[in-house]
Amino acid sequence: MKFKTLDRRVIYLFVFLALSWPLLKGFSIKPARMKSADKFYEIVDQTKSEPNKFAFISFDFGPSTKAENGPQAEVVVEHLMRRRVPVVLFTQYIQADPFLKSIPLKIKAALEAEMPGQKWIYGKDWINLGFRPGSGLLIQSIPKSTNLADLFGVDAFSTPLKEFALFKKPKTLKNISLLGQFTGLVGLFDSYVQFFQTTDYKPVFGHGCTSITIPEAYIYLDSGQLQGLQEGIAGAAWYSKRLTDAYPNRKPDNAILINTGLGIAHLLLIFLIILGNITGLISRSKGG
Amino acid sequence: MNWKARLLATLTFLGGLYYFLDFVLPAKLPDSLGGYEFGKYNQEISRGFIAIGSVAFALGLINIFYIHGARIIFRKKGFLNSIALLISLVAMVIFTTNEWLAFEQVNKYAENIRNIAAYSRQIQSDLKEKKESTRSPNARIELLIAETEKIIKDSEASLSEAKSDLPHIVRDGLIQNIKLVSKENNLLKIKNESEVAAPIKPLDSVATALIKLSGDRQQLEEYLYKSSTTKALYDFVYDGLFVPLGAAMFSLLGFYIISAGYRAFRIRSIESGLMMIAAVIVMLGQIPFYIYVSEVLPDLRLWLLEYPSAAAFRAIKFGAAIAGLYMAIRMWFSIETSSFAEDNSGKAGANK
Amino acid sequence: MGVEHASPGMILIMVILAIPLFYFINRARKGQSLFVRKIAGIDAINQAVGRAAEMGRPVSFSTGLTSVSPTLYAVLGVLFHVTKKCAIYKNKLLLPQNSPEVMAIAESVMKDGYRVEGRLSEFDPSNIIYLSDEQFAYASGYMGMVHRENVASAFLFGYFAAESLILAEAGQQVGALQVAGSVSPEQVPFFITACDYTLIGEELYAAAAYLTREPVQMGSLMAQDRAKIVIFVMILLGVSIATLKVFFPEVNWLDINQLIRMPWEEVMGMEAA
Repeated sequence: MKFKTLDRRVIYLFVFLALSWPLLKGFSIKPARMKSADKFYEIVDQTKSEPNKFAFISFDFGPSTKAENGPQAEVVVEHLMRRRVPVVLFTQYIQADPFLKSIPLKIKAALEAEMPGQKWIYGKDWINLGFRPGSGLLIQSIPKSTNLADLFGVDAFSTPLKEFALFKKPKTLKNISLLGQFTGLVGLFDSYVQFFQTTDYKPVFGHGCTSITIPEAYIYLDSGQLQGLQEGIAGAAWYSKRLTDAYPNRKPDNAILINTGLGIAHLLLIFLIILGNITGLISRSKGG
Repeated sequence: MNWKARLLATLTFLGGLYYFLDFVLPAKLPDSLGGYEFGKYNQEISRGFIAIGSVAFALGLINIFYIHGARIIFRKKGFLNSIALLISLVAMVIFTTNEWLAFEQVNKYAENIRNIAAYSRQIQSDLKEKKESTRSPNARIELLIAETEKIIKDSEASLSEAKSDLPHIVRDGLIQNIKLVSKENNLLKIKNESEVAAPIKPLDSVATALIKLSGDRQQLEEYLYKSSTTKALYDFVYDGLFVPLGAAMFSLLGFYIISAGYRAFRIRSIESGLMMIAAVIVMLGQIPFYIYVSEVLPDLRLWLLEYPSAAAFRAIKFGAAIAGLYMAIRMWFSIETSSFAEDNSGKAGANK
Repeated sequence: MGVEHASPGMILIMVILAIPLFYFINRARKGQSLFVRKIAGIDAINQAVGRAAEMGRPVSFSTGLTSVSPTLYAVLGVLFHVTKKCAIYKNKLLLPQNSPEVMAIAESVMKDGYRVEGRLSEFDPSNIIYLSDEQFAYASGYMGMVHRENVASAFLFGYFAAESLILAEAGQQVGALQVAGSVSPEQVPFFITACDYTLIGEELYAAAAYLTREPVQMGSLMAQDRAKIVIFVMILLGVSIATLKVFFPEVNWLDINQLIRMPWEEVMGMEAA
């Protein structure tokens, strides 16, 4: 085979093998240390389970970025549910609606299997607000609202929010102890950074992004507008490892598995780049 | 500038002026200046724009039918693909509309229960505040009791339709809440007939029980709907085709990045060499195999992302933001003659 | 603090940034020539259209996911120029679209381009193809179109997200000469890898000015550079004060952030509303 012009189909085959082999073999390696994911872990770990306080988590991802944002969202929601911090789930992206239903139920089943005798109840441990259109306008309305139950009205199943104990008394932005947003869409994230705060209160903000938007997210982490960041699947894998270290009976999820496949693909890319440069150098020296 | 252009420019200016004033003025003017909230109707105005914008979807549909219809009619090259596209489009519209209508029906049951619960709360509130109504309180409560009994019978009938694979949690919740509603309804009946005092507390209990039942009823109806043909067809096209296709297209990126990297990443100068070193550090620093190379790679990676990379991103963003700001000002004041505007003589770029 | 309503400091900065715009547009309208440096990607636009004409293959122009916004107007300036060139060379120009609103505006611009060159009869509305407003459906439609039509040159200008590499690779696979310009800095690496020429950030906004040398656009370009100087001075000031704070923490240094964000009530000495 001439390495000078490697058919791209051969490259695709190698990529497929690199990504699928760990998944098929179930083979995983300890992920790389991610300081930004450590920060995210710590802000969730420091979030107290207080009456009248809750975490506001936004799933703004669809099936296309679910491979990265899904595990990020799962580990954070799991962490919050373990700490019994009520979670209010929400999305501004219609394609995320099914995940708002499936992910908490999956976590609930896993936690109840791990800790028999303990129950996680919808309406008490989590509430699903479902998909809400309005984009930046809705995010601007949240800090201005004097009663979030009036602003949102009902949950995803059309139950009036005031029927839930959490929303019996008026709740405002100041009752949100933590904001978590998971997305591959840049526009929505900017709205949260700009508007999800009042003059005298800003919830702690953790963000989960896809690999493409990591450099952009670092700007906000550096300036203090973000307090925690999960960088793609690598961030989710490190967060998952931290959770497993803290809760040894926890069943590992597939974040670390996917991250291992990604690592092998990275090595393949580095190898191909080196190969391409060597063959290029050889052909230039031969006058080709 | 002719009168049409002037009118457009004026409307553009006024539209922009509204949002500009909303931004520069405080949320509420001081009382000494009238205390007016300039942005009070922002949401309503913006919803209006969204509604108008959503009509634009028809433009896309017309274009699709026009282009692909012409291809089919005149048997142009690729007309079979056009047939497939139009059939898929129409099928998707039909399946999605059906699903939406069917789901509205599913919601109807729970909504009905919530309406009865709201009625109960209204009676309770009117009794507390001693408000008059067209019907007497007794008559209203009797109506409420009758409607609640209908709901109980209806819920029991729906529950009997459910097969054995209905999740326990839904079945048990429903049975429990039907019993609760029934019990509270009976208590209300007794209190109402006794006429000792206004049955305020039983009304509240009935309302609360009905709300609990509405949640379970919603889940039951969704379960019954899941086995319908409409849902199956919708799931096939959406979860079976649309979602995996979107994920598959996104996954192409992984393959393309690696093939593009092999093809294009060549070290031809010092700058490209530096870029390559940075790229390799960042890649190695985030994968599990960094431990086989160096323990400091994650820290190096972090430094590269936090300092040089963030600085470059900020610089690009500043530049693009200022350019966008100036473009927006030009559009607002309609001084954006630009290279595609026409003056009256039909020549482009009036200031050329 | 959220920035929903401007503080007096912000309004002052807005005015300082806006003044150069009107000043330089005025100067440009008075006939003063303004220098713009060479931008290789923009020079390549003419080359790309010429190449397509020689090969007898079509040109494609994608506006990506751009919605009706200032970015779109910058892109339409380039589209107008490309359309005029294609009209002169009698080249087929394909315009795959993602947004119906943008499609209507782009169609109007294309038609104007043909009309200006006196080739209105060459304008074919069926070259403007609405693909989908769904990101990856648009990408797959674009890929198919590029392969079927075997385009010789592809222009990718506007706002792009994750589908950028898919679009660029599609053109690369058919051997098209590609010129890309995106305001999203995270997509720039993908375009640089797969395209022949890439315009980075505000070069996209400069493109229309560069091509037409029209006074308003040229003046605006000059003003952008001056505005960046203002930003640069503020950064220097902020960094200096932050550094001095480290070495002399006991001194009550000026807090620029607080100064800019000071609300109306504090500035006017009134009680908060």
